Amino acid sequence: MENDALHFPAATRSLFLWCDSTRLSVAIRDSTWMFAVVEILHLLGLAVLLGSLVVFYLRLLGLGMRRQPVAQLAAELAPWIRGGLAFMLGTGLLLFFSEAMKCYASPPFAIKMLLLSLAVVSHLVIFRRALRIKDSTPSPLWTRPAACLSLALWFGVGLAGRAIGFQ
Amino acid sequence: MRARLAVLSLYAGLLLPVAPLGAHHSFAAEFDIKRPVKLKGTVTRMDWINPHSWIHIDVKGADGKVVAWMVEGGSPNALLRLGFTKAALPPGSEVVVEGFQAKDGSNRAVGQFVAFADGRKLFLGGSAPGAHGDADK
Amino acid sequence: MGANCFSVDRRPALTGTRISRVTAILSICEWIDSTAFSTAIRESTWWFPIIETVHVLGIAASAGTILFVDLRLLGIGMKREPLSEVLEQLQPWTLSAFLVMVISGALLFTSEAVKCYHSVFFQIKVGLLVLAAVNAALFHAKVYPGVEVWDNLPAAPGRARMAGGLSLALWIGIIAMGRAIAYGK
Repeated sequence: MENDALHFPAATRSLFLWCDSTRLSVAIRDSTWMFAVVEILHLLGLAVLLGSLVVFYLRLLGLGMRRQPVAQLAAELAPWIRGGLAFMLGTGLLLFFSEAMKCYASPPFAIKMLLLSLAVVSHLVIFRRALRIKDSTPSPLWTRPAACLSLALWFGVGLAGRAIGFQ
Repeated sequence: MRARLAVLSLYAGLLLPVAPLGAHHSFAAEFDIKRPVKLKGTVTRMDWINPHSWIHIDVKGADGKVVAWMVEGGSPNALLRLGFTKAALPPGSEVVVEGFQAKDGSNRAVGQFVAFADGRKLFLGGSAPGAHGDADK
Repeated sequence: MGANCFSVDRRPALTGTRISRVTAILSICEWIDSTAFSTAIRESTWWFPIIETVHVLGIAASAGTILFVDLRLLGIGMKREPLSEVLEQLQPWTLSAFLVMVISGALLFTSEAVKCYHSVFFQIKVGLLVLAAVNAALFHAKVYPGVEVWDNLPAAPGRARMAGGLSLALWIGIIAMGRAIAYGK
């Protein structure tokens, strides 16, 4: 029964099938508690990652932490953004392995991955530029639209993630 | 660096109490793919609610005894997108529900779809594999 | 709800005022669930998913900003700024975000009051929220007023650092318990 499920080439499907059947996948699926714990960790990681991004982008928007230079704030937030992202990717990968075929059939999952890629790329570009901003007072013109775009992408990732759960 | 590791392990440590309390949301945590069920019976009630809908059906066993089952489906949002309306399952409807039974052996199951006597099928859109009418799995 | 795990179960028997207090709360929850407002959210196509999503993503702006105040108190983050700079500039955002969390949380509770009543995770979450509020109030009343003395130290002194560590631990627990509510029966 082919419905509105996305159609991928056979190689992609085999990859998802393989991911779905590893010993790790089976272990998480068969456990009463592992999925729950990983999911909670994923949510805690979201607090760290999105929290640091919110602080950074508030500064770029000129709405928060204005008394500090952008570059300084960026440098201090960097380890938390990096660590938060690494943690999200790690826990996300575990969740993915435990339900790879469900993700395969889920349009929100595909959208989430697309938005995630765009969010990471746009963030890296913006962040590198932000580290080079010299003055703490006048913000370059590009900062506000860039910040809005990136925040929208990151929260879009979160939204798509919720949509997977609501399917 | 060590401090960051400490914060992250604080996360892990504080989650230990959650572990034995059991998980529900992921299909396989509460329901058993090795216990497929086919429940033929009469709908007594449908709970059209968030986060999961519930169909209550009375199933007559081979011994003539009527057993009440609860079948979990998707949210109203998921149901509507699969063509399932609030009026689709009035009490008294004769249906066959296919799904998977709860791991604890109770009369609860997560449904894949509801089949009517006239051959119509409505997918339940919950956490069971195949609940969206996917070709896979 | 007064079980002491270190002794023989000497919880007062469910008699008299205790039973009436427990059933009174349950009756209120049942009444809430019976209202048209509660039913509307519970049976909604879009309201419930939207409110829940706002609540979950709101964690970023609420707990996510408090995180940096706590990290600064503990001396493991934002070390180049004085604590007061971090706290005072983030506070308006944290408070607005918490307002959103309280409203969305209250709406979610309203839609499934009885389920929350019976959920041990919800009960723990509420307890932790109370502790977090008390911790914050005590910090602002007793510890923060003296901030000029230790504002520029890399890590705050004893009580301030404890408040930060406690806050961090409590919010981790609150987020975890919040997610766990969905796992209950």
